[in-house]
Amino acid sequence: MSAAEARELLARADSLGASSINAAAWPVAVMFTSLAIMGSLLMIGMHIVLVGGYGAALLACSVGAWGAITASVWPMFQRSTKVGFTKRFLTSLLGYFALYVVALVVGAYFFRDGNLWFYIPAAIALAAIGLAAAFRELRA
Amino acid sequence: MSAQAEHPRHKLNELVHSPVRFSIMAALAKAESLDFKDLRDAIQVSDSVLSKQLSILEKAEFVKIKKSFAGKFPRTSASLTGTGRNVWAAHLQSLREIAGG
Repeated sequence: MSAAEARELLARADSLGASSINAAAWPVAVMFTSLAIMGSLLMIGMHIVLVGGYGAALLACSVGAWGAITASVWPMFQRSTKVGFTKRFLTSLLGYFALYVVALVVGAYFFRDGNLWFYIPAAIALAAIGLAAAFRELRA
Repeated sequence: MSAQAEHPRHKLNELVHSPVRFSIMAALAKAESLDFKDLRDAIQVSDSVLSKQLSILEKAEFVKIKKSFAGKFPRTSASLTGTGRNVWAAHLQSLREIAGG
């Protein structure tokens, strides 16, 4: 085998490896983007409903539980994933929901009557961690 | 008098070096796991050719095949085993040595 043939094979290996997982990151990116949107909207919604006294914490808890179950079950059906997906996915998901639970508990306990100084940063933080997880998967 | 160093082409893995199996290994190397259809589309071979070559790689314990069901539909995915990754890395290293001169 000549050096040129070896270089050609190496280039082919690189190109095949990249093309095979081209589309694999998008579903995960979409899911984390959805979580980012859902979490931030709920934080603002929680503030608005708390001001009106409609038990928004219960709403946020039930939607959060729904989101956690959906996010955990959905990847079981995904068969094409990039190297290191399981670790990246679990750390991103746990990070997101840990922040969600903290924001929920702190909001419900300390800011029962609403406080934009807490709920807007909480919304931004949830959006940021969700989008960071999405980009992390796209760039992996 | 020292023995002449072995040419790197002798270190190439014959099983991996065949064109279709080379493509399968290359596609799986960057993935944690790949769906059968995604793998077939990536390397552009027929289902039967892919099945046959995957079986050879599975028998050599380079590839792990996972079969499951999504509802009524069978789903097959493939991934490289630890041995497969090591063999692939060594194969690429040999190619780099050849390419380097």
